[in-house]
Amino acid sequence: MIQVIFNGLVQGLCLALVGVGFSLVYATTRRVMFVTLGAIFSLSPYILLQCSKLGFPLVIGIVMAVALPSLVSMACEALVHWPLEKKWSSPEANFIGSLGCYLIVEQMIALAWGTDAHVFIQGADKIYPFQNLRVSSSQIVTICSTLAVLTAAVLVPKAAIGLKIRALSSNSKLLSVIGTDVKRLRRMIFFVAGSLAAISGLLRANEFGFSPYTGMTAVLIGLVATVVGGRGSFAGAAVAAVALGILRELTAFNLSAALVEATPFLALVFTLLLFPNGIRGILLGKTRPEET
Amino acid sequence: VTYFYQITIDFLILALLAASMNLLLGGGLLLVSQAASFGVGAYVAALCNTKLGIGFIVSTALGAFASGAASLLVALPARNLRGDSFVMLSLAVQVLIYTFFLNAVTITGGPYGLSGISKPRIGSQTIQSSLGVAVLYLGIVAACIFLVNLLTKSGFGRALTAIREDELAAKGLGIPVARRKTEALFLCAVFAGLAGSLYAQQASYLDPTSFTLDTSILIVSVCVIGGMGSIGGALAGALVLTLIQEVLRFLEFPSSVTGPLRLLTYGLLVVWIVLKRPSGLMGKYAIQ
Repeated sequence: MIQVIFNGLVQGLCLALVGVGFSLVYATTRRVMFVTLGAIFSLSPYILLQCSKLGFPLVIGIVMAVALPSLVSMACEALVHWPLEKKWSSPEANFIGSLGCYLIVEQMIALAWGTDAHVFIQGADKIYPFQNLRVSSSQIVTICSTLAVLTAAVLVPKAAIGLKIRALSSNSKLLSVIGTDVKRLRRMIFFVAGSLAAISGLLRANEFGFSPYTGMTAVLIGLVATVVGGRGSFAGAAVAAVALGILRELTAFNLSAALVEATPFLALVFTLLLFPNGIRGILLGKTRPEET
Repeated sequence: VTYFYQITIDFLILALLAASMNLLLGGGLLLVSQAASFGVGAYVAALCNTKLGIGFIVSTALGAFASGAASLLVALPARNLRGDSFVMLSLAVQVLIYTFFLNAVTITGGPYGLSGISKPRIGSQTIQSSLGVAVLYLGIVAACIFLVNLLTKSGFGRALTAIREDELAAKGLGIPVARRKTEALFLCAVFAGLAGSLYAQQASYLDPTSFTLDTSILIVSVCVIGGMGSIGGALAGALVLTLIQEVLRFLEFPSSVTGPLRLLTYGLLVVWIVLKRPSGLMGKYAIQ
């Protein structure tokens, strides 16, 4: 039982990165549900694979595998979402545009590397017993890197740039009036969100292998975590993602593996209907939907 | 020639799906659970056909009705949600229903699918030829599209347009907003379920892969490419997508290339439309 919860916790931490990335974009732009992150999540392990095929050292491979997908994410903002923003487009238009980008990136992966599933490590992982737990080496990698990234994500909002990000989410017009380059700030946010998704993609690929379609599950959970956590709350998204990870493992263990994909969505329905403002809303005592 | 009839049948089903989606888009509601409604219709009709041996007309009607009834389960709690909350709820519904198709092995056959569905049977006659099926479907789809067109132009359709343009103002004018939305969702699901019934009874085999989120995205992209809120747009969108598929097939790439290339083209088209031509090929209003 503890083992199940632990596995769920590790999975959830990994998904929390996508959740925070998703929620970062959603909170600051207020209208972009950036589903393309799913394709970016799938892209990063392929880049690492390609780099190792070309004989680059692992470190350079990892840097490339995070940087290139992040650039793709930034390109989506520059080519699609920024022009839409300038036209005051609705969330729906942004959603459809983002779906289009998702299709493009995902299918390019399929064209370039085929649709077969891959794994990084052949054979079983090394297992380290730790009291009652059995911890695999890839889980240790996941925990360490996720905690490092999440700590950074918690510390950054305290710095000046974090203030700007929060200002962007509350009033972008005013922010540009006082002389901030909103365009650049937005590109940076998309870049960071892309990096978070790419890192998460790498970690997940390390543990479970990868294919062009793994990203969809990840982004759906990111999306659910954003809503369940309360829109606009990064910590909420992270907590929700970890909770969903544990919930998924518990479902697989106690009920049936077939229902694993369904549980996050039951959580989503429950949240949307009962607590439209999510965990954040419950904490702040605002359970009614905000009028927009 | 048989091949041509098959393409026509595929086109008709896609056009009906797009037209039903357009009804909803008329009310400013975007949803990504259309494939689920399509699937409910398909499975109900297929089960009537195989397990109960019911004829074409009754199976089709039951499929359409079941899909509509299923949509009410969602529509009643969801009608007060707006914008992206609504999109997300429909996403949840899509995934949940797909999971059901995949796992209720005793009912839907799960990943093994349902086979042995007979061709459309009216009275004692079974229509075997593709030409016959194509003609029958052409009649049904044309009638449905005519009906959707009537609905769009009726007071009901105008109420939906009013809701899309300004929900609060519509409410102020005395339009029962939540009720109209529920009705639109119901009708949309009925037509999608009908399309599913038609699909099942010509395919002879069903499995859940036809009803994934990707299918829903495809239907949305048909509407976006064709243009929202117009029947001509739905037809044009369906035609464009069918043509792309056939042209790629004609070019004879290996099958590992054709599939991704097809979806890649759709993606590019969607992005181009959203950015440069928000009213699509012949839409009445733009995605704003």
